[in-house]
Amino acid sequence: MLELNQLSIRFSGDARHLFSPLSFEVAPGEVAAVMGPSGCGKSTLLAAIAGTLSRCFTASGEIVLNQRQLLKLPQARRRVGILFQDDLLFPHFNVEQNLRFALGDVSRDEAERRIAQVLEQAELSGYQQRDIGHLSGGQRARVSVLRSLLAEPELLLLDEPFSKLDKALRAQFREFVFAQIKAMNIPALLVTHDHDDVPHAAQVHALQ
Amino acid sequence: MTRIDGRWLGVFPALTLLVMLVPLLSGLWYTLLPSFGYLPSLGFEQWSLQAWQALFAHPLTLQASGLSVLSGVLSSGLALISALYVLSHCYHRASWRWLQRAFAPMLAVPHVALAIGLVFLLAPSGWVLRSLSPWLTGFSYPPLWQSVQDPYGLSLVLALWLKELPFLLFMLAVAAGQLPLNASLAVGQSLGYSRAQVWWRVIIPQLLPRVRLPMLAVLAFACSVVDVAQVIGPTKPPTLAVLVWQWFSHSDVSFRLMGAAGALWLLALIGSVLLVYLWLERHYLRWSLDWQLNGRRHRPRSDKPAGLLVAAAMLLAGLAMVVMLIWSFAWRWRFPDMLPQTWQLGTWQQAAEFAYSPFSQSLLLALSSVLLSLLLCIGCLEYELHSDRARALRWSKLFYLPLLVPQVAFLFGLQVQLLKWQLDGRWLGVIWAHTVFVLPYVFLSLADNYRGFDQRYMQAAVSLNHRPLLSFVQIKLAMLAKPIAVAIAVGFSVSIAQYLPTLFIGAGRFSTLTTEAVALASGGDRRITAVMVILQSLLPLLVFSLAQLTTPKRVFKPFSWTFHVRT
Repeated sequence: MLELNQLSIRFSGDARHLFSPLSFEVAPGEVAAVMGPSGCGKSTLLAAIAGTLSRCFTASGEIVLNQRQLLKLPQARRRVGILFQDDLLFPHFNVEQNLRFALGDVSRDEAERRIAQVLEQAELSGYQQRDIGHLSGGQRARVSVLRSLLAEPELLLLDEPFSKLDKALRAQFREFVFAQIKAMNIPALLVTHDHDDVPHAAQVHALQ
Repeated sequence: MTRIDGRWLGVFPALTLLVMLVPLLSGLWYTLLPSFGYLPSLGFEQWSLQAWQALFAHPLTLQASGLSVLSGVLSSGLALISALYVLSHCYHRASWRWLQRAFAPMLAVPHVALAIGLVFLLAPSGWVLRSLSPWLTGFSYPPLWQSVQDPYGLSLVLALWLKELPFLLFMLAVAAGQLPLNASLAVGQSLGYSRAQVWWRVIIPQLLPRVRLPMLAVLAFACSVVDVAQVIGPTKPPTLAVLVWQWFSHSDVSFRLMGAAGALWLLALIGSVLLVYLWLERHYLRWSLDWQLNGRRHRPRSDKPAGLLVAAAMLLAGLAMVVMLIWSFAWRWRFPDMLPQTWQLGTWQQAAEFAYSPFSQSLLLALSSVLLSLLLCIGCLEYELHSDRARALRWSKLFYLPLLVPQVAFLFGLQVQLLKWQLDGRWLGVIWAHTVFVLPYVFLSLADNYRGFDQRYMQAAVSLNHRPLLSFVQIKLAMLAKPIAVAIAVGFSVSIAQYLPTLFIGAGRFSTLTTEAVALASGGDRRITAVMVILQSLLPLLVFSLAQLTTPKRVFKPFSWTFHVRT
């Protein structure tokens, strides 16, 4: 469960807030959407939740994830996964190495088993040794999602992850992501400026 | 590397400024005091203007000053103009890749190695005259010419030009890469201008401000270099930097006071040269505007002169290295024979004895100063991410300051300072002195790539494995492996080439390949000199080649291994 409590962000040394304070809850398996035109502070909001907020900003209010207060924690201890517009697969690693990076301290056999398993779910069986540069855009996007989820985050942030894919791929990939989130049973927060990306019946918050 | 644990990184810029500026400022301070008669460690405690009076009364001062400024300005100016000319004809043309590959080794070879090579080539007993004698010249003995170490400093200008041309060409190419070059060329050519015209009228005015720092460094270096000028520069009088260095190392210690005054005089001269260059660069655009907009179209001029210029430079540098190689295997080689009468491997076999100590000291000094510089640079660049970017940028400009101040102007003072701290003649002191000159180049070659790294990779990594430090090594440093390797190679070659810092701060207790090569070049055995110079050139070449072979994948080849480090 993710709870935002009167969360607001302002420039350090400036009283004005980027947007009016946000309060809402996101249940496990649910995808909530935050919408607004570009420049309204969507990405800054995600940075505050992920723990990568630049020093130029100060966040106030509360972010509670499964009873843990996030704001005071460093990024490494928040257990928050992020999916960006770009897949950000590490170019010097192959598919398996990228996925292995997200796994915890497990034995080699266990790692290989789980990687094979998730690749199969994503219809990428046998892609372990593929070079990142040789994957298609859609394949890269799917590997990127698998990687985020292998780290077993307690919350997934989606920073317009669909916007760089072409239309046909986009719908397919969106369903894949939402299905994965449901299966993991974790809350997810999506920022976007495209209504098509928001799942049906999801709660939508407009930044202003 | 989150906001919360990023603040401690502030240690790095603070430490770096300390490492860079303490030697510079205290060095200048302890040069200033002796110039007014105050140098208590040698028993001078009487404030006076004597040193300054003696400096300007000295019969050689004025001529030496003129030589320094003229040879420095002429060589740098010619290097800039010829680099621009070559660029305007060759950049991104068929010849460019070839040209880059051929010039790359010249960047790695120390200045003084090239200078010694030129002496072996152009001296009256050098290879050029040997190949023309006696059939053309009739000489059976080397003539008493001054084809090197000529009183006008022309051979010095040639040596400096030859070494700075590739450097400026490389810096200009990097700057040109940041401009919308193809669009400008397309637009310009569609308006009827030739390719070279577009370069001179549109692109070069944009390039000049971007190579300001390298150009200032080249000017300051060329006007104040000691080792190259000792090898190939004029002798009676020598350039001012060499004269000052002679005063500093004179057996009569009272000359040190005049040396201090001379060093500051050189600093003032170079300061004026740099100011004039800045002024020219600033007004160049305005002055040349009429010419840029005069609307005259030329048909494309031939690329041949540019090609010839490049070929001549490469031929000269290449022959200089070849003649060095021959000497290292020569046994008896009388004038005017083209090749040695008898060959030998003996010089190389003995090298294990006479070159071992300078080789290992060069290597150790280079490795330690490069590692120190790299650590500080990465720390500073990482700090930038967690702080006010604009302010950090302003501070980091100070790192380049030691490149603009003549070495001879503050190394004597630094020696006085380190003597007080009992660091002179010790490893730490010499490594520190090398770092002062290595760090700016490491920073220069690393900063752009490091700042260009997409920090979201780090955010993604930390959100995946929750280990900032491990992610930093496995992701960020690994992805930046190539630029880091190149920065190491650049720093390495800078350290190998250092002459004055090793001598001044080493207090004579350190001998490197460079100090040995310079000492041998004036009348030492040519065979041994050749071996020393080849080793001195090979070391940086080797490191550069290794850097070229580095890829992120190679760094993390034993991949599964790195994960078992996790506990």
